[in-house]
This record gives sequence, structure tokens and C-alpha cells, in this order.
Amino acid sequence: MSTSRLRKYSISYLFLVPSFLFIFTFLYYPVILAFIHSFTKWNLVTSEWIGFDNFRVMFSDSVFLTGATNQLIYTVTDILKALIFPLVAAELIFLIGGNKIKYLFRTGFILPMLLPGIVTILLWQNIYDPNNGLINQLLIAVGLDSWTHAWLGDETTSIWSIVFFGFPFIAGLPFLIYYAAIGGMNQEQIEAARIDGANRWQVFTKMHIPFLIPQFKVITILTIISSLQDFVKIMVLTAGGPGVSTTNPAMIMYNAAFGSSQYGYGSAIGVSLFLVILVLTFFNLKFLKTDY
Amino acid sequence: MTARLSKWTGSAVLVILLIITLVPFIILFFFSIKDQFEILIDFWGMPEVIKWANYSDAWNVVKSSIGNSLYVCIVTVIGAVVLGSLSGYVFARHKFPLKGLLYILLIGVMMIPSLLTIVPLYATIAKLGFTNSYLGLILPYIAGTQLLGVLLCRTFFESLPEELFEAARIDGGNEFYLYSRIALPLCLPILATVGIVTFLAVYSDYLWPFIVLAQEKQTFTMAAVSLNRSGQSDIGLSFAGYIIGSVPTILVIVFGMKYYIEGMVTGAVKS
Repeated sequence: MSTSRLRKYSISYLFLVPSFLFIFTFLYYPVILAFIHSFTKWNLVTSEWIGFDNFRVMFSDSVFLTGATNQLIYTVTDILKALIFPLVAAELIFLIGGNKIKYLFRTGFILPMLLPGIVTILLWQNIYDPNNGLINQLLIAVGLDSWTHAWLGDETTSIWSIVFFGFPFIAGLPFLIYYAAIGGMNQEQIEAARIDGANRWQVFTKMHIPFLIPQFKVITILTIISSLQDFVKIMVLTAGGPGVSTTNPAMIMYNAAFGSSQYGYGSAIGVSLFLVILVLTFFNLKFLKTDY
Repeated sequence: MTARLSKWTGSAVLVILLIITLVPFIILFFFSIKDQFEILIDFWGMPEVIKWANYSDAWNVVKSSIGNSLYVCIVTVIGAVVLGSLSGYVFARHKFPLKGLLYILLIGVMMIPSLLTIVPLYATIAKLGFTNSYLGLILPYIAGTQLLGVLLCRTFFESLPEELFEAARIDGGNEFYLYSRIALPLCLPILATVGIVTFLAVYSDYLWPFIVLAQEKQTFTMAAVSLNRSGQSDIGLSFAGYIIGSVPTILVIVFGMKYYIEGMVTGAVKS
């Protein structure tokens, strides 16, 4: 029995071998390595078991604590940016109506997504440039010379310059999610409410907002996950500086591993961020319930 | 009256938001045809003469990096599409022990944040001897990007009628024939979605190439960042370089808009 069944199934398993070979080698194996080596001092060649020392060092390291505080600012503002601005744009597009105009605006807002993300980052670096940057040039043009700044190079403005990156924060997945959801709403219900005397604001707060709760939830989760992992922007714009004013845990992880060959410490930060993501995602799914 | 008024304010706000959204990209184009000296002395002025030479100079700087990026993208897309559709086919049309568990094991990988694996993946690549090699990019990329294919292809293949496959089996077609000649041709639109999403993600990636590759093998994103470092001396040249390097993503998105948005939304919501 077992040989004939094995033959019957062997083709299925055989077909799955390539996919699993790839995910075991390049995903599961590295994850296991990360967990093991978060308890070691590791230079990629030799490793030495040091228990929880990496985690202890992490929580007593003032750079890491600054990074964690910065991360809180980044994540909270990232959520607000993703929840508010794309929603306002999507709502206004449906408010002014007209299929052609709707299409035109939607296309316009997602146009920046045509370019690789790194180009947008480099463009914003230019916008913040103290000499030839758009912001300072604009200030000079309107006579506010005294307001000009080395936006990314000054500790007082650097972190807010990174938060402000990408203003008005519309081009992106949240906008497309809202746009699709609003477009798919039951128009008859809304018309009925309008006839009964509800004004636009009431329709928005009493009908649109409750209807969009699932979208808010998805966007919040996705934003938290990407916010905690996002450091390419920081790496290119400021490298975490000046000082440590814009750094975040992911950036510190990168520097620990690839800057000073502390791969064990880097792994410990990676594992910690992973656990934070896990807990926050769980919390989101559990407590931001959709039952309205 | 108030309705008309709110429509007008609404339109005005939208137009302002749209302008602010697009301004950086207007500047990108504007400066790419402007002479460096002119940018420095007259920021707002129209270019006296349109300096197309920025483009030919930038082309010489970025062309090999674009070639490298395209090579990595194309090999990755082929790998992702083949593996994704093959495994998607097996999970949709075959019955075998441990199927549910294996599927969770495969798709569950989407829950692993890439940040967690950066450091140990580099160790893995180093152990395999793939540092400063395109394989060090391509193989991990395939591992991650095949999953969207598995997800979409499984759903699609499950919707096909069994008679389609039964007829081919009676005609003596083996399983590989069923996959490659019956299933695969039917799911080309889905593979287009997978291919486009994969292409864009790989082409735009900066971090992993920067970690794995040395300068002489650089991808476009690496070239763009180093253009910027030297670009303090010539903004027009670097901006022209950014535009040239963005042509592949622009073309892929414009010709595959429908598939692109579909894939992005499904990928995000399902993972």
C-alpha cells in the first residue's frame, strides 16, 4: 500500500521541492539564525553564547533609547499621515464627481508611484538642500530669508524634516484602498440619507467612516509594519544624524551589523522589532474589532 | 448654493494637494534640462537653452547599472512566475497528505518581516559564496516573490473545471504536461500581475543590492544614490540620470496598470 500511495503522491511533493528549497534556504534558515545569534556575539565566522547580554545592552544603550523614542514619533505620525491625507483626497475626489475628473485626479495623485522609491527620496534630499533646495529658495522668494535652514543638517529640524518627507502623503497604497472602498459604497443608501435631510458632513461621519473601519484597520496594521522596518529613507537622507537625532532601531541594527560587524547585536535588534510587530499586529486584530 | 460652494472649495483643495504632490517631479524634469550654472544663479528661471547634453552625459553614467538591474529583474521574474505557478497548481489540483500544513508553511512566510532576515540572510549568502554576485540578489528575491504567485495561481486554478484536466489525462498527458500545457497558458493574466509586482519591487530595491554588491556591479538604485553624492556638483546631470533610470518602471506600470493595482492591493490585503 505504502509504495503505491507514495508513488501517487511523489509527483506532488516533487513539484513542491523547488519552492520549499527556496523558502527554507532564504527565509526559514535565516530566521532561525536570527533567533539563535541574538544570544551570541557573532562576527559571521565564529560566535560565542552570551545569553541575554545583547538585549541587556540594547535597553541600557542611550543611542538605542533615542532611536526607540524617534521610532515612536515616526510610527505615530506615519499612521496619522496614512489615515488622514489619502482619505481626504479620496473623499474630495468623489465629492466633486464627474467620471473623467475623478479619473484625472486619481491618476495625478498616483503619478509619483511611477518612479522607484529611491528617486523620490533623492528628490526630497534636494528639496531640503540648504542652498539649492526648493524650500529655502521658496522662503527667499517670499522674503523670509531668516527662516531658511539646513533642514536635514540641524538637530532641531532634522527629525521633523523626515516626518514631513513625501508631503502631502497621498501617493500610495492607502489612497488606492480608500478610493476603491468609497467607489464601492452603496450609493442608494447614501442618496436616501441625503433625501432625508442629512448633509454631506453627516453622511461622511455617520456612513462613510463606519463603513471604512476595515480599511482603517488594514492601513493601520500595514503602516505599523512598514514604519518599524523603514530605514532606507533615513539612511539616505541623514544616516541617522546629525548626531543620533533621526536614527531608529532598524537603522541602529543596520549600523551594528554592517558598520561595526556586531552581527549578534544586530540580530537581537531584528528579533526585538519582529516581536514588537507581532504583538502590535495581534493587538490590532484583536482589539480594533470591526463589529459595528 | 452651499452644495455648490463646498464643491468649489473641495476642488480648490484637491488642486492644491495635487500641485504639491507633483511639484517635486516637475522640478525633477525642469532641472534635468537646465545647466548647473543656471540652477545656481537663477533657481526659478526657465532654462536659457535646453541642455539635452545632461541626458547623454547621464546615460553614460547609468547605462551599465540599468542593464544590471534589468538582468536581475528579468531572471527573478522568470523564477517567481515559474515557481509560483507550479506550486499554486499543485496546491489547487492535487490531493496529498500534509497539504494544509505545507501550504501554511509556505504562505506563512509572508508574515516574516524582511527586517528580521537582513542580517542572517547576509550570513547565508556569504556562506554560499554569493556576496558580490547577482545570485546573492536573485535567489533570495525569488524565494520571497514566488509567494504572491502561489496565492493568486492557487485561487485561479481551483476555479477551473476538473473535466479540462481529466480529458488531457485520458489522452495520456502526464502531470507536467497538464501544468505546462493546460494550466499555465490559462493563467497568463495572473502571471502578468505577479511579474509586474515582482519587477517593480526588485528594480526599486536599494538596500539589498547595496549590502550584497560592490560598486562595480551596482544596480540602478545604487548608481542613483552615488550620482547624488557626486551630484552636488551637477544637479542637472543627476536628475537626468534619475529620469533615465525610471523609464523601465514607468513603462512597466503604464502598460500594466490594471495588473499592477490588482496585485498590489491583493498582495497587501492577503498578507
